[in-house]
Amino acid sequence: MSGKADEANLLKETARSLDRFWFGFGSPTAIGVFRIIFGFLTFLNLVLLAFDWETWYSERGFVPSWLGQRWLYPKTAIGFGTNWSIPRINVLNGVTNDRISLLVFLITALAALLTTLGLWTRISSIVLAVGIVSLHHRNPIILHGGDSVIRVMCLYMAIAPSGAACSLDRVIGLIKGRISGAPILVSLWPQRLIAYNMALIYLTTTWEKWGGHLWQNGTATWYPVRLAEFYRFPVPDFINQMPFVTITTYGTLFVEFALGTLVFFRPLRNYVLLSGLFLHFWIDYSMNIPLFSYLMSSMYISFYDGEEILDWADRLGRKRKKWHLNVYMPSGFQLSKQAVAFLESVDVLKLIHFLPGDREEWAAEGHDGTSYPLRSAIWRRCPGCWLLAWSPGFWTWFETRTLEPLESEGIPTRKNKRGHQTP
Amino acid sequence: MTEPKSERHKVSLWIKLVVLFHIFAITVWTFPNPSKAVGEGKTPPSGSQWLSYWNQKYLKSSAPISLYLTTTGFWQYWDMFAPDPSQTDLWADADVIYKDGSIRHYQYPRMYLLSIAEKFEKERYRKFFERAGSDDNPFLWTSFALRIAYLNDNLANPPIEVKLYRHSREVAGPGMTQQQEYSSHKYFDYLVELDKLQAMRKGGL
Repeated sequence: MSGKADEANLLKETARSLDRFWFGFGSPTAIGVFRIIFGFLTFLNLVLLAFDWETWYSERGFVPSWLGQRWLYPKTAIGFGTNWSIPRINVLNGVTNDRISLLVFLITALAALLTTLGLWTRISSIVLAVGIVSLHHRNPIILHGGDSVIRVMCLYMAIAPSGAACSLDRVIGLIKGRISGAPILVSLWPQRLIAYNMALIYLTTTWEKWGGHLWQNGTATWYPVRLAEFYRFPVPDFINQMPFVTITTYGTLFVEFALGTLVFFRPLRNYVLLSGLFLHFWIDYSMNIPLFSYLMSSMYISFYDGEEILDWADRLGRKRKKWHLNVYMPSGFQLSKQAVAFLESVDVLKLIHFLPGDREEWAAEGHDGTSYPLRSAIWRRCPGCWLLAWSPGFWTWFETRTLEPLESEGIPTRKNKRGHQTP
Repeated sequence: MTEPKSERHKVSLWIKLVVLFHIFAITVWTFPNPSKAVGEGKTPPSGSQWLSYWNQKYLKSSAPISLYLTTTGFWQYWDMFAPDPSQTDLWADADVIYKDGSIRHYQYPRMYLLSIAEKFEKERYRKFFERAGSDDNPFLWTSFALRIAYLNDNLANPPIEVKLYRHSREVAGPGMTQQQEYSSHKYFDYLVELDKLQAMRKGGL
């Protein structure tokens, strides 16, 4: 009886652990960082495509609309005893007007930029996903592995709370007082899907490779480096000779297998991801497969919890004492609650300490007492306002509206976990 | 990660079911296919091929899974350098023949000849020719040749014929002598359809 009860308890505990892993709540920071990196890479990919837009997406190009459909549709008959094909999300379906195609392309690129910035993120990430899926269904003949990564990840970004952290949406919301500065918790299942999908990419490609005789006999990496069409930068000759080829062949298989399996085991996670970064660095250096390595590596962030990233930023900030800045507020004033929340969100490394001043105006001093110009000193230390600071009226708002008289109730100075300053 | 603190911090059962279906769908979809002979039923599956065969026959091809993944764009298949990396270097060029009999050589963008920046921008040309230069996809050849005619158009002396050439070189294995020369092969001869060329001239933004 006891054995059965133990088994039942074990099963319940396993189910609970899985439920916590997939559907637990946590900081959205990892998704926010992923959105910035991946959104930018997607934007870059579209910029590269824009140079040859006519070639790939116009009716005068290599792939007119009908040809893209011809490539897709014979392969996707749906069955049910009928001949009809599976419908696909494609706002360019049947569109032969190049102006419309160009407009869709430009809107998609704009959505990629807005998603990167985290501006109107919910809408822009959905527009980006629909745009990317449509472009891929319009011309599937030029797609490579990196494109499939872009498509799938853009869909995940659209369903994830992508704008909840590291976004202009959040910063603007804090400035305008529309949202509170309290830490947000989001359900982590979209982040887990990104991580799982990434592991699946590596695992299935390893499996597929293991079916090839060149991978089994240890000579697979001999061939791609000798394809002139893939050549990028020179590589020392011994690396492309036996027995090094055997090492790189089996090494690739091992690293990819680990990225599909062992990466979920926390004690090994950092080592596995580092080996993956090295693998992709090497591929990117030696072979011309634009953006592929960057796209794959950007997904690694999904294996870290948002809290881990915040802690890491905090530790980095603490170690860089030279970067710390004391900002003295005008005498008789303190930061408003709204300002504290805003500064918490833009000062990622927690480098700036706001202190009560005894002068009429703002002042900024380094850790060694050196005076700095206020605006540039703050700007350099706050990644969250690198863009925002260029908008008209930002500094006027900062220097006047973030303050309230000392008499009023509120938080006297900016909260700081490390207690670097006192009220 | 935090334990659910309240109802607000719980994921609904419906979302959980959808996520589980999604995980199942992408997993079976990305499973490697069995060998062609096994997939077509010519050879009975053996060993690990059973799983791939069973997955392809009963799960991957099932309507709910293919409908869901294909429609949404979540379809995916990962076979980079697999099952074996390509062993063939491939590039293309063409001869465009004009009405007066003159010939112009057209070099389709070839990665090896491009600068690093151009390689970044033009890599899709290589990918496209990997497919458009294959004997498996002859339906791509006409559009390929027509575009080349358009790129080399001359209203006073229009192109009337485009000859597509494929140049390839097999990479020899370790210990074998590497072939330096590319073998060249004209794989398509296209007589330009002037009405289509005319339509392309009229098109544009």
